[in-house]
Amino acid sequence: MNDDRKQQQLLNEVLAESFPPEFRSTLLDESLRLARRRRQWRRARHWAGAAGLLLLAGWLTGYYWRGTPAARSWAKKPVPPGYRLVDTQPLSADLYISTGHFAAVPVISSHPQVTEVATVSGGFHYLDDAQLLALTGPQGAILIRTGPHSEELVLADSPPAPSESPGN
Amino acid sequence: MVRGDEAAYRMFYDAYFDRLLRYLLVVTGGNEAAAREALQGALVRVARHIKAFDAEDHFWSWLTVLARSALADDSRKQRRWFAFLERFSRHAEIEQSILNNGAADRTLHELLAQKVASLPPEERELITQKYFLRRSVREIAAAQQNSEKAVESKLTRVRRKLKDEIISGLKNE
Repeated sequence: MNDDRKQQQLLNEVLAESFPPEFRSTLLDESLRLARRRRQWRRARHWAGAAGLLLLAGWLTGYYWRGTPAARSWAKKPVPPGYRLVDTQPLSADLYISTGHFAAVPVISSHPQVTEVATVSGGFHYLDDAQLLALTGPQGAILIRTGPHSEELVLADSPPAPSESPGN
Repeated sequence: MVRGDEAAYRMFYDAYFDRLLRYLLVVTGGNEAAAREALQGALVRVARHIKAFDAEDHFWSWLTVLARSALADDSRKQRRWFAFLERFSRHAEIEQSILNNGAADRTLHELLAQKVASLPPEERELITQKYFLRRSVREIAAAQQNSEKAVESKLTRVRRKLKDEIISGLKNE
């Protein structure tokens, strides 16, 4: 223990002669009593707060579970049937019918200046190969059979005119 | 202490009871009765208004405010306001100085050192043996070939003498 602490102890004991020996213990007891009261007050406040919260929660639960007092008093009164209750329910999607504008639908109309072409039946006959070749004239043509029921007619070019011979 | 823990109050008393008393003795200029009553009032205020502090020096500053307000209240109650004002003005410089941490203790330690030095040799030796050489009362009694009760009685007498002289020194500051 250094000299400062030794002198401090001496000073404390010297100054303790200023008051009776029980002075400090009496004050400590008073402080402890106040501390206990403070602790009890804190505890009581804690429990009172918790109890208050529980009461509030209980009241709110009852209030919303059974309805408000006003709602309960109304519920007790008989309501005269001044209306007819009709139950409705939504239609399913397949029961809906939808419509659209006419502009969206293509319109087909007849033209007033239509040229009519009429055909006459009868008076026709099939040409055979010889008759077909005869129609080609003196130009010359070859009929090539390409299948059992198909043929090709090849027409020869006409001979060049004398004025168009090379060398002129 | 904020939670009302009794062990904390005991620790607080161990740490601050004597320190507050010393502070109040200096503030009151050695008025023991006023210091006692103010100490009592301050400790009651501590129990009622205790709060948490970040630092010890803030706590000590708060304690000194409580002690001075308790002192002012007691002075008003006992209709000694004017007397207190007179003493207060006389010791205004002391109070101002003890706002600095430890100034009250320094004042008291200086007074104590002076008063111990001025004791008769036999009494000074007794104080030295007991408080500075840490001898027990039994050891001192054996060395002096005296009874423990007689040594204890003599120690009490010397302590009271020192206390009276310190109080007197505070009043004359």
